Amino acid sequence: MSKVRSTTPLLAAQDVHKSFTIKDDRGPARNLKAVDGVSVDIAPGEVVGVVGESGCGKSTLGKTIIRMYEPDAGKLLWKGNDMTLVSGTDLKTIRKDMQMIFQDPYSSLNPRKKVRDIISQPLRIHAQGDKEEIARRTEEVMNEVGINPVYGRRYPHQFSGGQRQRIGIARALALKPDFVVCDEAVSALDVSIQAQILNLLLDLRDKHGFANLFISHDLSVVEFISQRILVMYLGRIVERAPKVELMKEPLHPYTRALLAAFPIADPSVRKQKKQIVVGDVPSPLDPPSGCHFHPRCPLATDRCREAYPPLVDVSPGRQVACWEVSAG
Amino acid sequence: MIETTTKNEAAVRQEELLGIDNLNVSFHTRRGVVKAVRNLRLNIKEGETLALVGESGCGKSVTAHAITRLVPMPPGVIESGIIRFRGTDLLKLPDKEMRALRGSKISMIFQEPMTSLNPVFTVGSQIAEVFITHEKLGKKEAFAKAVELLDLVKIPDPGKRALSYPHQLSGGMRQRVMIAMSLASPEPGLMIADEPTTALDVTIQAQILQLLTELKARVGMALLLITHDMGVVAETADRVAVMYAGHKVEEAAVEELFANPRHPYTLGLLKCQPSAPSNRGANRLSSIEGSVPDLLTLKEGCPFANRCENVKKECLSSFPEITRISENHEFSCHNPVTGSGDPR
Repeated sequence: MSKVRSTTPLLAAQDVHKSFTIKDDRGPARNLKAVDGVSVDIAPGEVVGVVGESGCGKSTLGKTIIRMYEPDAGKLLWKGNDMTLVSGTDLKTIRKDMQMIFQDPYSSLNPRKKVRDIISQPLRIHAQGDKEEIARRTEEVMNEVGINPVYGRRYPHQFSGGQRQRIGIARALALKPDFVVCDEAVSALDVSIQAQILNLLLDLRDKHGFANLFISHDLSVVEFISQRILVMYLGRIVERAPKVELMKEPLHPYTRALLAAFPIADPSVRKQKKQIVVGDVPSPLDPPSGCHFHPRCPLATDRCREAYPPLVDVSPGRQVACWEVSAG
Repeated sequence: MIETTTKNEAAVRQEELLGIDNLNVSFHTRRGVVKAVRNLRLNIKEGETLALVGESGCGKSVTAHAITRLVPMPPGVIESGIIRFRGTDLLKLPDKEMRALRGSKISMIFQEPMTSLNPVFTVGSQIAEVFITHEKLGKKEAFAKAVELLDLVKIPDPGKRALSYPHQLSGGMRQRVMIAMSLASPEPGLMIADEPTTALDVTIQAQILQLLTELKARVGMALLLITHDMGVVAETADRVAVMYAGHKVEEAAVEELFANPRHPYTLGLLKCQPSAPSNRGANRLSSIEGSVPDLLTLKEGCPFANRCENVKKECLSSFPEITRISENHEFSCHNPVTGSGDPR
C-alpha cells in the first residue's frame, strides 16, 4: 500500500493559522482560533489521517490547506511553490489538482442538477476538452465509482446515501487530482455502506495514486485508511505519528484518552473500569491557558497550566506536544 | 427513589419486564404501504440491557416508538401484536393510563437532546415538572429533587446548573439532563435510549455509556439500547437483537453473538467494522455488497437475499422460521453460517 516517499512533499503547510470572528447578539465580537499554528506535509500518494473531536479544527485545517479558506498566516507550499502568493488563473491551475469530498451526500450535491452535470462541472470549469471529450470522461469516472452512466440523467434525490457519496467522489476525481481532502467522507453512512465507500476510495487511490488528507472523528476509520495520523485538540496538533506506532503506543495523554474511549467491538475484552477522561471539550472560543488539555489531563502540572508545550520530535516521524511526555 | 435495588438480583433477572409478540407496524404513505416492523417477537427481562442493532430503516426506532405508543398515526398503523409491560398490554391501555406510564415507568432518551428539551425553561424546572406531574409534589420540593438528580448524573455544581437553559449546556451535559429526567420517577422500569451517544464526541460517549451502566445497576432498571454501533453494543449490552428491513434476524447473548454469529447479515455487519480484527492489516475491508431494499417494493422471502452470500432458492420465496439453537440464541435463516464463524 505504501508508496516510496519522494523528497519534496506534494503539499507542505507551515505554521498555518486560521481564525474566525464570531458575532452574535450577546456581547462583543470574539475571535475563534480554529487552526493555531499547524504544520503538515503530505508526500505524493500518501494518506494522512486527521483525528479529533468536534471543534478541534480538523475541518478548518482541511479547507485552509487547499485555500478554500484563506489562511491568516503561514505558508502553503504546493509542489515547492508558495500557493498563498498566487491568484487568478495561476491559482485556478493549481486548484485543478486538489479536490474535496464532503461529509453530507445530501447537501453537497445541487438538487436541481442532473447527476452527469454535477460530475462534469469541474471538467467544464477547467475546459477539459470539447463536449464529447467531457461526456466521455464523465462516463468513465461514473463507471469507476460504480454508478451506471445510464443514470446520468437522474437527480441526486433519486439515489441512496451511499450512491450519492459515489457521485461526490466522481465529481472530485473527474479532473484526476493529485490531492484529495476527505472531510468526514463516510461518517454519514451506514456501516455496511461505509465499508463499500472506504474500499472504493482505496481502489481509486491505488489506481490513480492521489494523496489524501483524511479527516474523521472515527479513529477506526482513520486507522484503517491512513499511513500517518495527526491528532488535533482545540486548534493544535498534539501528536503526530505513523499509524502503527500511534495505535500501539499513544504518547500524548489526549491520544491515550481518545483510544481508551473508543468502544471495542468485542465483548470479551469489555473492561470493568475503563480509564475515561473527565470533563467536556472546552469551547474553542475560550481555550484553557497553557496546554489546552490540562483541565482534563491526569498528568497536568503547573507548567502545563502556564505554557503551551512545543511539538517536539520523540522518534523519527513522531512528534508530541506534552511537557510531561517529552520530559521523559 | 434510587434505593429500590435491594431485591434479590437472581429473581429480578428472570422476570419478564417487557414482552413483544407478533408486532406489525406499517406506514400508509402516498407511495404505498411500508411494513416497518414485521412479526417482531422480543422480550426484555427486569434489569437487563437489550441492544437493538441495525442500519437505517431496519425498524429499530419504530419498535421503540411502538412500545411508548408514539408512532405517529396516521400514517403509522400498529397492524397487530401485543406489547406486555409487567403483564399489561400497552396497546390496549387507555391513553390516560399510557400517559401516566410514559416518563415514569417507561422513559425515553434520544440522539439529539436539544430537540427533546424545551429551550425556554431551565433544565431544573423541566426535571421538576416530572415530579409535579407524576407525584404531585410542590414546586420547591420538586426542584430540590431535580437538583439531586443532576448530581446523580454527575453534573458538576448541580444547584447552579439547574438554573441553566438547555442552550447553555454542552451536548454531553444535555444528554445527562435527559437521563436525569428519565430517572425522575419513583420506580423506573425501562429506559429506551435511541442512539443516545451518536451525536456526541467519543470521549463524551464513553462517559455517558459508563453513566448509563452505573445508574442502571443502581436504580435496577432495564435498558433498551438502540444503536448502529457494534462497539457500543459490545461494551454495554447483555443481549443483542439484530434487525434488518423490519425483521429481527438474530438474537443472542452478547458474547455468543460476537463469537458465533449465525445469520449472514450479523456476520457481515461484524466484519465490515473497520476495527474488526479480521480487517487488521488487511488491504480492504470486508463489506456487504449492494444496499438495503426499498421497503415499499419488498417481496415475500428474506429481505437480505439480494445481498446474501449464502442465498438459496427458498430464500426468495419465504421468510425463514425462527431457529432456536440454545436458550440464548435464535435466528431466522434458511442457510445460516455454519461452524465457528467467529469473525475474530
